[in-house]
Amino acid sequence: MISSYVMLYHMTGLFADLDSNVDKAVTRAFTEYTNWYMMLRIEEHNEATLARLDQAGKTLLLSLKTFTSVSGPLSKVSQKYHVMSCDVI
Amino acid sequence: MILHHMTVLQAFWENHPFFDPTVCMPPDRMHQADQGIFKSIMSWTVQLLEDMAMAKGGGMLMNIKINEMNRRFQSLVPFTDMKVFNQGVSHLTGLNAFEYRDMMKSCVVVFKGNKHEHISYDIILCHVVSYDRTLRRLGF
Repeated sequence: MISSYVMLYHMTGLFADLDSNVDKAVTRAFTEYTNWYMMLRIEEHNEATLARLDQAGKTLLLSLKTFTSVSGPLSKVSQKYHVMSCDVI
Repeated sequence: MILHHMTVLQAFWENHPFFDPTVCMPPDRMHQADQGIFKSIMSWTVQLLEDMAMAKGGGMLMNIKINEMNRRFQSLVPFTDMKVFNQGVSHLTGLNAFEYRDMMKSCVVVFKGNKHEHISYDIILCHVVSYDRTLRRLGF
């Protein structure tokens, strides 16, 4: 277990040697999704949490736009995905 | 003609000014978030990894990248409520929402590595310790 943890500690991004912009975009998309999902899971919302959820959703949409803009050949397909994401968020 | 059929001529809520039909359609977290947005992000990221590796270094680099991704999923430290995908994830099909949620907990670590300079401390906590326990600790 310790050796695997040391290995994880030293590893770099999967896309780092392919394209640094894609690496950043992918990381940001997953990070913002996790952030938004954590806010979504709050059982009892108040005005403050709703405002944070709204902000997290906007940030997620922004990160998804970046993700699809750097995804090259997939960007055409991603238009439908954008619509779906906007609808949910 | 199509527009004529799609137009609502006499909506049943038109005489109820305080009725908002959009309130009756809450988002479905499981189908829209877990099996919707996250599934799309995940499958597209894997597809993007394959395409970029194939374009840059051919099939050998693509296999190296996919094996590296699987190896990272296998190498995650076991913890309560954290699922370790012992066989990797590239060959998995027909996952349910719980498995996508388990995958979500470790995706940032797998795809980014462990260099978290720009990631907030909450997110690191979320991935290092149990997801639900982190939520409780943060007061959610």
